[in-house]
Amino acid sequence: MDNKRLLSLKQIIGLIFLILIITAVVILFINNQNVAVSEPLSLIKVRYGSVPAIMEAPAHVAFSKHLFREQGLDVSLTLNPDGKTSFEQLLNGKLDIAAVMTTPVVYKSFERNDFYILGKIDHFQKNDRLVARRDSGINSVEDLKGKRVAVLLGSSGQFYMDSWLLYNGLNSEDMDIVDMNAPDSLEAIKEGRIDAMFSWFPFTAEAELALGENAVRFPANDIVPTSWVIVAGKKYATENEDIIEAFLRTIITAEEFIKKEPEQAIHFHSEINGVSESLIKRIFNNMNFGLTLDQNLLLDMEEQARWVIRNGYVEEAPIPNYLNFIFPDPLRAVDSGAVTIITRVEDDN
Amino acid sequence: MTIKKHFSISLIIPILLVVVLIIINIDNYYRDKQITESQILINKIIIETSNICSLTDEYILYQYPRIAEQWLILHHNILSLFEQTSNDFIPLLDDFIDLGHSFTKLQSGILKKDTANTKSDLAMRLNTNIQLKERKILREIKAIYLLEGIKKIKLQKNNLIMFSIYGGIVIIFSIINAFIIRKKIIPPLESLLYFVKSFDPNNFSFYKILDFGYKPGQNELSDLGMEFEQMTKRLSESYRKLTEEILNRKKLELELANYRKNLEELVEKRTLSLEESNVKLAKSQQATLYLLEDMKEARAELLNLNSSLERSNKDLEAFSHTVSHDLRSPLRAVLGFSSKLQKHIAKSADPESIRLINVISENTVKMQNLITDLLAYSKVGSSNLSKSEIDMNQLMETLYSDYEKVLKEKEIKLKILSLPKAFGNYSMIKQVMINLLDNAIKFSNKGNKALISIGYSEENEGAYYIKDNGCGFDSKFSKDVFQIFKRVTSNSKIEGTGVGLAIVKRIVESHGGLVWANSKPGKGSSFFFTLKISKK
Repeated sequence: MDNKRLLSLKQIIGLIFLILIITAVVILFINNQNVAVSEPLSLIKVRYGSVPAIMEAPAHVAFSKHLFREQGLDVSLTLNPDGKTSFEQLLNGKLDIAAVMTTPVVYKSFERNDFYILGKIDHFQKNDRLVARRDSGINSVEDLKGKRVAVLLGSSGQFYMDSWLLYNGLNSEDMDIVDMNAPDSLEAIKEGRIDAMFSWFPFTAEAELALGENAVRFPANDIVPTSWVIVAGKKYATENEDIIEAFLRTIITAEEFIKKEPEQAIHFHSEINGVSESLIKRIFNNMNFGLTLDQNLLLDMEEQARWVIRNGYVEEAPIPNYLNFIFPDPLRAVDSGAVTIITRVEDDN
Repeated sequence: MTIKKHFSISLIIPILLVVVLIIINIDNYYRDKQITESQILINKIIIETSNICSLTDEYILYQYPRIAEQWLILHHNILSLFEQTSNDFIPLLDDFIDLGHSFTKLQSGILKKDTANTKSDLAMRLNTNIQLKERKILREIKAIYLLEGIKKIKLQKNNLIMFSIYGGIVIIFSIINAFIIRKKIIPPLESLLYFVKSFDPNNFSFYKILDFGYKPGQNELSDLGMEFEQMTKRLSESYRKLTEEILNRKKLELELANYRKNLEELVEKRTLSLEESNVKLAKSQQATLYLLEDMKEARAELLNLNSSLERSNKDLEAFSHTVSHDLRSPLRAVLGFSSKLQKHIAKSADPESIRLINVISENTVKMQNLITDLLAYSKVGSSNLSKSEIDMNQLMETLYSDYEKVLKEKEIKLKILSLPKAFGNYSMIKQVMINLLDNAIKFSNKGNKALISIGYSEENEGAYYIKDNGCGFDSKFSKDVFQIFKRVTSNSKIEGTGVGLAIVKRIVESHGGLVWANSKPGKGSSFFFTLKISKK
């Protein structure tokens, strides 16, 4: 019998090397295929309403880094002082997608149901929302009685104020409430036209900075369940589900970038909202962004709806079924794990 | 047991153990996976059941349609999850279906807006019922979950025991193996090492591998030991031969040194004599140089002489050719007019006049023959010969027909033997044969048993010959006969120009051949000539 091997040791080693080289080339080729993101020939225009708030950092990063373009979207950013304004522009057809707190959404849910919530930007925020002037004689909660307090009615600021006052044994009727948006409130408290303001970052932080020793800080509490949501018109959302998916995918990509490159993210965010990077850094490291749709959103909205009815801000009406205001399909398509809200899934039927 | 077998067993047993272990591990993996999947499913059911509990609480608190819708969705989802579970869940499934009925009743009771008391009473009872059922289901599911956990722990425990047993087997096997190696392999190796260390090629006969406890055919190491012993024997023999070789070489080197010494002395002597010789040689070289210069001059002179000789020859040939041509015309006139004069005066003239005219005619013919021969002679040297193969037998046949009449008249017998083919110019060679044959006929005695033989002699590198038994000539003239105009016979009756044999010599030599003659007076003559023989 011929005891000769079919292949010599050298040939076997050579063959293994050849297979390794071919595998490496194939992997490189596939990787390059993945890396080479070609920009679509025509980008789809999307009008997006944003605010200079920290919750909008993912959208700002996506805009500055042209992440929307990579998903085939040409997003034009409209920077409003508050989400309420953006939401109204959306309902008036001036915007396609907007970011807003749930309070204005709840207000409108009693009047109309032609919009959808697409996702909730989770954020951990425990920063001050009430700033007062010491020279107005305010040193404690009790001192707020009879003082001129600015708040944007119909906004999350008002809901926060009511809840906070309730928590501290006060009532909004004990004070002189002035309806004012956040930038105007900031100017007013600086000039002493108002004694205190209920607002949000960065306006409260800027007010504290401007007043210096004269600022009185009231620590925030976590009894207020407000959520920052991305909304779109019902018609627009159902007819442009792929655009919504691309938009949400971009926001998720931006959130991942923020986790990896927080310094750069702060820089991009600062460029858009005009707030100094040092100020943003004060709270940015405590932020933990995530796009979800969960049961808490429903509880949050129902709680605010009860608040709206209880205070007579709307006429007596049943609590809307907020499941009908939620469009989970695009987010479920982008990140199935992000949707934990109990809804009927078509696949199950 | 041989080491090869031992190694095979050492390899196969652990491999078998590992294979069995892998199979058991794979089985365990799938069992574990099954339990984990079951746990995940139960966990999902627990979460969803907890969610449905929360929704029930919420519903009792707020009665929002959203909560009822979600409750029913969740109930449906949990039922779907139950369908994926094992038989353990069948009793729970019935409870869960009942729970759905209870919730539907609760929902319809509230929505029907019964009287406050009825609603409250119904709601409270249903609420209690639902909550009890939910808690019962949750408790039982958790119990199943715990059971699954216990199963998993058991599996892990079994796994651990199995691994420990197999590990123990492997360890025991390794120890036994090490022990066998220690006993079977190490001692022979150590002995071999000792044997190698103590090996002395000069005193090999003292050591035997068997002295070290080796047994032939025990295993590969014993074979190795035996082979090693054989090798050391061969090595010792080689060493002995090598030692002898070295001694011989040393002797030779000594002799060589002596030789070298003698040789050096000899070389010294020879060098001295060589130096002397060199001096002499230098002198003789100088003389040779002078001689060479003289030779050069002499050669130059010789060349000049040669070229002038060639010129003279050519001039001479040209002269004889011209003279022959120029002489023929007046001769033809003399011959023609003599012939006419003979006819004219044949009857009228006196006999003396006729005789004189005859003399004139005869001499004119002689002269014409002489001129013809001279012309032929001169042509031999001047023309370029075109050579080819010549069939000498055929040539002789042709000649014989021409000479047949003459031979008969003179009563000469011609004997032609077989002749080899020659290489040369056909016309010239034919001329050679004609001239020699004419010569032989001329000198043959009529009627005296005259015989002419033509043949080829193999002696002396071979030569054609023509022999006659005529009057012959003195051998001292054997070279003169080939000179032009030279006649060695005193017999005036024999006609001839004295050119024929000269032509023969010239033609043969122009073919690179030789010609010679042997003769004795009264005994006939033999003429030989050589030609290049065709080998075809």
